[in-house]
Amino acid sequence: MKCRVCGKEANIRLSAYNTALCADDFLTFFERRVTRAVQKYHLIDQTDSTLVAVSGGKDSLSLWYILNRAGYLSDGIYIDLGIDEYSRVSFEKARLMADRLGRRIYRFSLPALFQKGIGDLSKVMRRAPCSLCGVLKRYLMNKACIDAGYTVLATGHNLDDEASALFGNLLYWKEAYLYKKSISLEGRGDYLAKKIKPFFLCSEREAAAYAILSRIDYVYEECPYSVGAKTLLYKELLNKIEVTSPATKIRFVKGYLERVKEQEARPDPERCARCGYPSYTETCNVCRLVERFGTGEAIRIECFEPAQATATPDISAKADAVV
Amino acid sequence: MCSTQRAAASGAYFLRSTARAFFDIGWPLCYLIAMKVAWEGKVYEMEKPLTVGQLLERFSLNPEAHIVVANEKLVTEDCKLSHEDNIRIIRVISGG
Ligand SMILES: [Zn+2]
Ligand SMILES: [Zn+2]
Repeated sequence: MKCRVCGKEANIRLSAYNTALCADDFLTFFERRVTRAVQKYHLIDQTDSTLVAVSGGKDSLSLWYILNRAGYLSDGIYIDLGIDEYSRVSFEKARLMADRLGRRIYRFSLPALFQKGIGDLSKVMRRAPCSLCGVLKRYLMNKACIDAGYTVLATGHNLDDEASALFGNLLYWKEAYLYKKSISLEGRGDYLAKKIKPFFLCSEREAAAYAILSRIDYVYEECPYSVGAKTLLYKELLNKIEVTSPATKIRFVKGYLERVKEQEARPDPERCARCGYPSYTETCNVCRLVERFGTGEAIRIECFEPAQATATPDISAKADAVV
Repeated sequence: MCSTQRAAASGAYFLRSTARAFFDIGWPLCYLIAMKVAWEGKVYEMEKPLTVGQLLERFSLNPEAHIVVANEKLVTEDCKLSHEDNIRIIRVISGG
């Protein structure tokens, strides 16, 4: 198989785009797709400052790397869920990237606040670890953004994440969640940061290939709680269809994006009486959690400066030259 | 053929093929050096050289959910792998 652009031996076949590319041309292709999505969907403005939710996995590390390369200088936030070795290694990878980019990384530690990891906390609360993790992450990442003065929170959700979530919501007609997903969710005043997903239309395979080719050192291991998660089954099923009918996933998600535009603007979420962050009840979930199970200390988000501020290789100039 | 006969016959074949590999370095060598594939923390030996597509099929893996790396380079499904290649299969799907 030959590269569509330069004719050299191809390194990756992209059936969804009916093409094959060599390593260099794939990197350019992928970066251009991400920066174009940022521009087309107005994800980041000139005046914005961006914080990337970093898990240590391929998607978030690649995203952090690309945004900085494209001139959207951004820092990272890591949530330590206290899953022993997995959390330790994940943070190590996140710090490696922070140093490579010469950017700051913030860390919130669940065990520091509750003296328990997500596993034990979910047991005493009788709640599934993944749903608890979702609530905590959403809250803490938003808080980190607002408190440190960032206007945009970027997450590494990819095409497969979105397609599988959409598939699950449709399958069980979870209409309350159905139209809540988008490539960007506007922020509200001084208590809710704008949320963006620049990899919305990039497949998980592309993100992994990008990470490998860019020599990004990421955690291969799965979060131990995601084993047997329904998401994995949906992803597997969608990939079976994708192999026989390429571009199914991207059409599915693009079709959704067109339909979600027609939905009405959502009302402002209420604010928690205690912390002031978004909540659907008088006191938010996290405030109640901290009150019941916390050690009495306030939520603290640490900040780590990079080992040395290295200049980030900038592709924004290159992109301009092409235009 | 009883089991002892079978063992004796295969032993003789092994000696013969080893001898041939030593002396004429012909086709039996390919079968003596198996193709090694790293997958999920284990190393598997494949008796015959394969293409990347055939390799994924052999492991029943979906090409949309896996990437094959040979000698630290990404390879497409039509690429022919040989026993000298250092091969790794990487799973790209995570729970998220
Ligand atoms: Zn090329
Ligand atoms: Zn609150």
